Amino acid sequence: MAAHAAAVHHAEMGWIRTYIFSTDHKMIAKQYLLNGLFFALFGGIIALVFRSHLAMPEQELLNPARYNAYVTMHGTLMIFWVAMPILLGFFGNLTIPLMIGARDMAFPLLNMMSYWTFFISSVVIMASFFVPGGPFSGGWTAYAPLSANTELTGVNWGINLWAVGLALEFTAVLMGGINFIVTPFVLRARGMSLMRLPIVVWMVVIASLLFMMSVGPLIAGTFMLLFDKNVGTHFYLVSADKVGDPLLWQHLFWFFGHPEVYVILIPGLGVISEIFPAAARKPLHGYKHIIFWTIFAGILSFMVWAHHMFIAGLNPLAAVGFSITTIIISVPFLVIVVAMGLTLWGGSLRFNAAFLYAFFAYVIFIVGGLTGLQLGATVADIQLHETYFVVAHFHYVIFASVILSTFAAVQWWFPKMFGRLMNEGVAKVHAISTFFLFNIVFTPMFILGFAGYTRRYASYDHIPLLQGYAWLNDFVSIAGVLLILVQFLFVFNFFYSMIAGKRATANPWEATTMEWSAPSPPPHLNWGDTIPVVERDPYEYAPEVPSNGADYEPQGRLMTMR
Amino acid sequence: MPIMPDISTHGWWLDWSLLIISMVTLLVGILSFALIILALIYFRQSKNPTPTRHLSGWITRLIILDISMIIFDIIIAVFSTWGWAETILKSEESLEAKHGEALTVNVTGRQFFWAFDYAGGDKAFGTADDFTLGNDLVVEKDRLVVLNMTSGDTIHSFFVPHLRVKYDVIPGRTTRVWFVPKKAGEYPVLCTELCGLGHYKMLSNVRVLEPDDFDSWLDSRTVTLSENPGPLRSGGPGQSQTVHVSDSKDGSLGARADRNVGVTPRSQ
Amino acid sequence: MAHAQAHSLEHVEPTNIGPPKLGMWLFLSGEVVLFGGVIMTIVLFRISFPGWKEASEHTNPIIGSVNTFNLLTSSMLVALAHKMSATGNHGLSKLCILGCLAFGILFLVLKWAIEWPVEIMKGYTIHEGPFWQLYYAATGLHAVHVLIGLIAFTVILILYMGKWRPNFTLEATALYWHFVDIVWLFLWPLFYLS
Ligand code: HEM
Ligand SMILES: [Cu+2]
Ligand SMILES: [Cu+2]
Repeated sequence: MAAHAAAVHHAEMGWIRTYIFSTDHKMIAKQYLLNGLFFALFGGIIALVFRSHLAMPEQELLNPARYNAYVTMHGTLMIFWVAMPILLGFFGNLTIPLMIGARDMAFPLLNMMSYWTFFISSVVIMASFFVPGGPFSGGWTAYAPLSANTELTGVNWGINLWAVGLALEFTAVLMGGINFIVTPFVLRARGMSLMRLPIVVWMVVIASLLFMMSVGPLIAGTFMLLFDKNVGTHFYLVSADKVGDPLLWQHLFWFFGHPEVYVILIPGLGVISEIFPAAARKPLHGYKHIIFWTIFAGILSFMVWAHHMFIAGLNPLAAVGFSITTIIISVPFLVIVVAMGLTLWGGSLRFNAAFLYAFFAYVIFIVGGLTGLQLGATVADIQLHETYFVVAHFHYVIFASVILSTFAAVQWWFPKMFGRLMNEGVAKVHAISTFFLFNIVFTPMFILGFAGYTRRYASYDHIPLLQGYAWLNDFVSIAGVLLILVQFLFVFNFFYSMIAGKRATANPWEATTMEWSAPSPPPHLNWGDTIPVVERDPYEYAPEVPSNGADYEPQGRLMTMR
Repeated sequence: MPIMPDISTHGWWLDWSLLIISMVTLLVGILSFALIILALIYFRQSKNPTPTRHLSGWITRLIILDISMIIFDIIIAVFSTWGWAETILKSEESLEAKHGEALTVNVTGRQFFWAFDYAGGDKAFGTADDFTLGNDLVVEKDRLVVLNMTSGDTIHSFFVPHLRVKYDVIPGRTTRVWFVPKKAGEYPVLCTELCGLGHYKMLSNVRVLEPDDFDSWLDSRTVTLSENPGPLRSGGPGQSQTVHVSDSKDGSLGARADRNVGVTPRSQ
Repeated sequence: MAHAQAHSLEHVEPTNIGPPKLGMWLFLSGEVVLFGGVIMTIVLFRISFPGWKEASEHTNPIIGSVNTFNLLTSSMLVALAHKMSATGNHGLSKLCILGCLAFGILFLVLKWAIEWPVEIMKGYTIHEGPFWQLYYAATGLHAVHVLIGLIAFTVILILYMGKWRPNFTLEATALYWHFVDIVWLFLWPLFYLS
């Protein structure tokens, strides 16, 4: 049998082809996951360092330049080296082929190159910590001219490495994205129509499309930045006789930036909507609505970018237009959030750890979305722009969509990665403590924002105006330390369960989608001698006529090959 | 709200929009969380062992929710745009028509200080009586102030929490903000756009003086012209130390030159 | 190869368009957005900076137009090459690829060996203001794309000389080449004809 031969062939491929330069989507998913988790921990620890500095500036843990650099690298790493590899690289690679019943990605070699390009980009960005002048310190948004002129920050190589690392990372995600989009369109199993695709697959496809459609201008912009800095052109720089336009960078950055924040939101929502039906034991509510409105939100996300620039010197009339598009975006998200809520409504909820993670992500996301609306109101944004309110807003969204839904996904799909289950008890403790500590850290930031606490300050102690809330800021720092510390529960659980977790059956969660009919873990090429055939919609929980006595109908079955 | 007390005439717009928007947001948030918690309580496995596959009537409920969200959106959009129209979008002419003649100050942000250029007694820039203050903006109570702002190096942002003023300061462009202070006193200015390693120390203050004090202050500036080092726009990055030379914070108020002797008393 | 077998196992290919072609189109749409950003920037600078028109009078419209001709011809030849190889006329196909290569190289030689050095000698370096920096950046980025296309065609031609027969590879590269051509059709009026 051909497939059998292929599997044997794989076993012979040797250690390097299996674990390092693997073309197997599951191995690439794990590589992306580990790489992303490493940076998550690293970025978290950086945050801990600069928050400690804020709490006790007199200790001089960091000088102001380093403080800015750490804030910058925290943002950069978390968005581009944690969210992107995990939400696209990990979710996409792990779920797409298994869920659509394919044996691998459409372009396995490209997939491998994607990861290794990403790896190189990781090395490049890490290298910026060790070059003279240290890492880039102009904020993750890298506003020019600060980023385009070495004299202004004293950082030279840090900026170059930042820009080159980013360009490499974009290339890696583009390569991955081509796979994520093409595979679901061409390699679906028999019977898997587009409207039967599990929601997370749709979400990864939409996210990859958004990324592809938005990143071009920023790549061009990054090269112009490098030109300005190293060749002496004046795209963004302004000097006596030569005028560039500092706002050009902001336009290019945010034209990419807002779709980008959806890129790192949508797959997270996909994971939540994947787990909710299985936990509630009823079909996902409004499957088509979710897909349709997500696409709608994706298209709108190209028309809102200047809500980051209301008071940045933009034509004030244009700001009104962007404010209105921003406010309109709440409508699709309302539908999506309500659909998810209605999935729980009337269900029979099983409180397993994966559900807890997903549920907390859901709750936190709602707060993030609502506060985004406040920021989208032009006049309110005057007071809130560039304060801790913004920081709280995007952490609410991103922590939900990136961190918590990653925990949920790892907990949920652990059997398909390692053939074992993560420990439920530890995970529940971790989920609950993370949820509470997260809120304790970030809710005060809304208040600090109102009070006028501006972002990216290396110290507040010298500002009498803000002293009334100094205790709150210290409180945030301390809670933040705890928040980072409890994450080690997850690290422990992850590695412990990988080695010594309970062995998992093929379908430990009694879930319906196709990946649960493959063994845990699935072999190379996933389906062995069998062929997956899809027979129904993805979330047939609580079927009207149960065929096998269970309370769910698997989406398809495996046919043995003739 | 923990927001700073408002001493401007337009701050009302920000505060009320912010308050209304925040309250509506809070309401929506509380409602949704109440529903979510209800769901958790009533639909846990032990309480509700058999799930309801089809919810009835949800479409109407969704439509109701959608409509209320749209109403909520319209409230936000109307208030924010209205507030925006009353603050940022106001033209200088309409402001002067309402508040009388403006005090125009040219502001330059630099790493890491603010320079404020005054036209001096003759109200014209580019004349001999122009003078510059470093990190000290002196304005008159109840009088319209228009700031024309630009930057000498990178982007800064001019934020006065009490005055409800925040706007970016950009090299190669001029941005404009206005305010009418209602209360005398000293108020801090913060920079809200990351501008380098001294960003957090880029502090300044706005001194709002009673009209009489302001006039005498202005006169004293004019009288002491010969000692004035002149406009400071030529300074480069890193000159934040030298700027304090022209900072006449202590001298000006004390030197109460007689108003009537002053070269150019303020036209009424 | 393991995955090659794996794919032949799939019983259904629900969509008619083959994976590589879809991938190529996606790649190109990414490129469209990239050049979209560049062209957006050009238009923005053009509107907001006086002196654009004067500067643009110092480009060399003759070389610009000859190069347009080069790319168009080259694009046409590659379309022919694709057609020929599909109908089994491999000899002609190779000849067409060779022609396409020649015109492409001519393009680069004109641009990099004549046009740019002359401009620089006249003093119009990348530091001479908005027009010139965009001129070098945008046409430079485009020229790099041309170079990449030429390398791809060279590899194809070398392989083609042996037993290997291009089918999709040639089509995909041709798609790319047409794209590069179209980008030039935007840059040409923006820089040479205003
Ligand atoms: C649901 C609708 C959303 C709305 C209406 C919204 C609105 C906004 C607005 C108006 C700002 C600018 C605030 C300012 O700088 O003054 C902002 C900032 C931000 N948002 Fe959102 N947002 C939404 C969702 C999201 C999502 C889903 C994410 C990420 C997953 C996100 C991430 C961010 C980030 C990272 C920033 C700060 C950027 C910076 O560093 O300046 N937002 N949002
Ligand atoms: Cu945004
Ligand atoms: Cu600053």
